Amino acid sequence: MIPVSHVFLLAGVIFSIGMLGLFIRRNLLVIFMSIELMFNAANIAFVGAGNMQANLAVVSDGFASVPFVMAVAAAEAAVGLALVVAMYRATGDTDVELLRRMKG
Amino acid sequence: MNILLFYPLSALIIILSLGVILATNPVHSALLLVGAMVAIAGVFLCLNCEFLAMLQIFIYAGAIMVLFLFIVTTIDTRKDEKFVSSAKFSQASGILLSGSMFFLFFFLALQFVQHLPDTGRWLGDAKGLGELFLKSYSLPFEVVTLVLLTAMAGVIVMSHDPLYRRRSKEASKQILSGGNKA
Repeated sequence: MIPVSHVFLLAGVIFSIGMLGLFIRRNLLVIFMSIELMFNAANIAFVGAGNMQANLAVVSDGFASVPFVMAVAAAEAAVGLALVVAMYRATGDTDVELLRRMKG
Repeated sequence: MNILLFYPLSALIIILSLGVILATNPVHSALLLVGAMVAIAGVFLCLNCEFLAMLQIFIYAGAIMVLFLFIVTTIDTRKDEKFVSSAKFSQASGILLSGSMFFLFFFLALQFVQHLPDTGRWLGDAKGLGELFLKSYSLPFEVVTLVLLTAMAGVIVMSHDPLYRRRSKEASKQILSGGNKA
């Protein structure tokens, strides 16, 4: 009997770690990995909430949201890695601090 | 049984994801992330979702992380000492935002102190999810195929290198002439 609050707490910790990585890292690849961590935190929260809603007769909507999140994560990973490759071709590195041309 | 596995797996996931953002080498980050994905699949099993656990391993650990590792191996990822952003604004906003996110989730968790139903059977099995996808979620299911198609077309356009064809032709010419000489 796992409490729902503990599942949400786990999701919150993983989401916070992902967001911290998104802001403090310089390597574009690790930034994309942090985004994947945040997607996974959302999935864990969906599954916990779906379990709370589920009963014996019907599979709940919370479970159905998870494959959609996975599909969007796959599309995001493909587009993001194409951007990484494009940046590597242009600059020869994946350090986001090289991208300073948009500074206003 | 579920509760015996859930808490060790949670601790493992937290340690592995801290390793992902603190490792200096991107290859180590990717491998730690694969471990975290597998542990998250274990959490899904504890929460009665066998099909989602399988999808997690197939799609995340199998497909997305292999894609990441392909890219990590094709580009030059030297280990850098200054891996943390030098911008003070970025550091401060990251710590502030992730801390506030954590407390948001913490108070959200305090709102839901119910216990999960211990039904003793798989709730998220393939049969139930398949019925859900073909009945009430059939339109989003079709739309998500369009999302994937659009992403694929976008990636092909973005990573298209107009010089590639010429360079590969020159390279094959060199290889062929070298082969003739030998």
